[in-house]
Amino acid sequence: MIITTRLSAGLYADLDEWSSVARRIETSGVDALVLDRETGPRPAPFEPTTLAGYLSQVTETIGIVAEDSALYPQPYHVARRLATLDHLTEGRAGWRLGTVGLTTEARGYEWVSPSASVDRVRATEFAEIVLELWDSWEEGAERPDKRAGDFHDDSRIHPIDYRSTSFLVRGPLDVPRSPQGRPAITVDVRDADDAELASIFADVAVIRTDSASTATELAAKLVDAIAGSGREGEVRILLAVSDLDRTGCLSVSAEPGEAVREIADAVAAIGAHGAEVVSDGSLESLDWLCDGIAPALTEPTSLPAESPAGLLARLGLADAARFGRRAA
Amino acid sequence: MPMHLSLNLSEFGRHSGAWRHDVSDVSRMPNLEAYLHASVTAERGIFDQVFIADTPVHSRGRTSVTGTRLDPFEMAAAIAAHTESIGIIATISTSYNEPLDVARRAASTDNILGGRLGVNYVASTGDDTARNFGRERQLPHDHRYARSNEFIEVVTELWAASGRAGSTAQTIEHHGRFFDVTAALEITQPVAGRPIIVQAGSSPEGRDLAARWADAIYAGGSTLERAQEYYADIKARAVAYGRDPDSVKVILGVMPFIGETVEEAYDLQNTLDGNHVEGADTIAHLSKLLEFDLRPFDPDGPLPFDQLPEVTSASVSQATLFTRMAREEGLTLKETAYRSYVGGLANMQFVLTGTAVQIADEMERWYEAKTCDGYAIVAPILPKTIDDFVDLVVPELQRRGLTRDHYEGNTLYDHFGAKTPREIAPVSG
Repeated sequence: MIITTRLSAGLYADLDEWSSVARRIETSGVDALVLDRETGPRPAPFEPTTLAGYLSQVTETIGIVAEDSALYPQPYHVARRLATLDHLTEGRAGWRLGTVGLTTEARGYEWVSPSASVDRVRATEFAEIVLELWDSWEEGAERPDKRAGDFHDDSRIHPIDYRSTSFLVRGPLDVPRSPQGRPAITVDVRDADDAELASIFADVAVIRTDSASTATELAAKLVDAIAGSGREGEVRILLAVSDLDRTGCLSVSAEPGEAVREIADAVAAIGAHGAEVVSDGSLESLDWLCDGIAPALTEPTSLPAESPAGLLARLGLADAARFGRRAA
Repeated sequence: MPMHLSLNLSEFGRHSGAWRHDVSDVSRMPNLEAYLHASVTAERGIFDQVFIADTPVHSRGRTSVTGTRLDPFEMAAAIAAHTESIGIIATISTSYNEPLDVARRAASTDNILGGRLGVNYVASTGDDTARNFGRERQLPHDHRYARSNEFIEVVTELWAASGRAGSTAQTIEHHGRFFDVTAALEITQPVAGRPIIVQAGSSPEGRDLAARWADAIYAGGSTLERAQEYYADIKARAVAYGRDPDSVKVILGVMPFIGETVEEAYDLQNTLDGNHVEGADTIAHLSKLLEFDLRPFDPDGPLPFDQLPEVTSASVSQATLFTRMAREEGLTLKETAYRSYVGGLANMQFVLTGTAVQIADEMERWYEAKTCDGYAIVAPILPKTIDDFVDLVVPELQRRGLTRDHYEGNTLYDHFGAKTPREIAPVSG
């Protein structure tokens, strides 16, 4: 099954520690490292997208997913930085949609959120724009032709001309099409609205609840919504789990053998494709994950050694990834 | 204070004909190895910093090719993993960014770099760029610099109020003309209080902003006298703001064509110019620059100076530069068009073509003549130019006692010999 790990960008202040933890998690077979913004009371030295830029250079095969806001300030910047990350990782990058702002930034931008439902609309448009920008370069458009003198083929690079009440984005993106075609997208699912958003945009939908029955309900809503969006087979559903309490996700045993069984059962019960392990980055938690959980639940990648080990390919989604999805 | 050295980073070099050279590897786009090699080599040459230019817009056509566009903070974070001492200057647009987002990512990047980050704040122009960010056209001229100044105020306030390890950030309240910000940074304070501030602009507003804020200003100059005037002006403006004139470094752009012999150096220059111009409509390019159709005019005659309009678009500096060049050197329309087309940025800098010793001689002469505190190497072709510069020119400069032969610290403030913001009072505008 798919196993990802979620860590807060504020966990370690030392980059050497980050490097060795990332490599350890990579070696254990975990498919992707998901970096979240620090939301606790104490400030963190790093934020996810730039920390991901650094980690791109000290890892080789693991996916690197960074949380970045789908609300502010501008989608063009998010598209650029994630596309750059995909180039830096040679196709291992992902964007975790940040659909909830931090309280410390609620009045920090030109746009101020009036309500959660308006946030939803804005996040939807924001994600549409990012996807369309990632698709603005056709494959091969960046191939320079020394003889003809064309650095890239402008006839294959297209403006997106996106207009709505909130956004005006002409495009095209200035960063070339990334190695995977586009970064992978993950969306957290806590309620029916999240399920709707995930059904449109997610490659990976992560069900986050500490209740097994809610997990079952959310999974059902998600499956319905995915069918409604015509995307069966294109979304990997993960169940968020943790060896810790009070993390907002399903708590499992601290004893690895037991936990492996609990996770396998819970994932099977809701028809998911795997689990996202939320860790506090402590040695105990990492030992539990890297020595116990990951080796038992992941398979060595079945991709041939020479093929580009992109994150979407690793998730079994390389062919399914479609572009330019506009919500109804 | 030793002569400051900066390298403009690009994949193939800043000459627009560089990518077409036989030796340039265009098989992978982007070519990240090229950026890393240039940074690592510059560090070997004890450069103070590398510089990442940026404008968040796709550039169509063939006229100015400087490589693949990538997000500068992401690049800086990646280069951090391969270097230890060299600074990295990341360019951001103050016209099309908001300060909170930049403050967060810059603080994180500076923490990743351990104090080696500088930020180049650009009051960007260009309708095309504006249209990526919710606007139909670029900001009006008088808004751009006012917004840029306020932008730097806000990021500085956010960093000053941010927490250090163990302490929480304070919320700032900034209610200004362009920004209304009530927020606290969730990222710890950058290593020295805030990243080094860099500016690049020769307009009066650009000089003023630099004099008020900048630790370094990147300058282009075409004659020694003009460069001296600029240097003196910047220092005087800094003094008028109550600053020590040494606290603003003037970094002069230079495009060096280095050869074992003078002939070899000129061969390289001519090859690159020829590469770039081949197949190009240079008069159309100049027409666009000057916002005036030059095609009806005799290409072997002079520019129709008295008919040229006031240029209002992105390229005011370039338009002025080439018109002046044509007038002063008696260039024909065709010659001016060729010059404006070739070399991309080359005509904005001063160009040195020769052996390593000759280049070191000229750099020393201009430096002693008070035109600059150091140089931005606008390498025409990479990796060749930086390899040659570090292997051949830097030892000459070091031998003459002009540049350092080892790093004395590991932050940009160390390299600049500058007091950190914690040690100085903020300057109000």
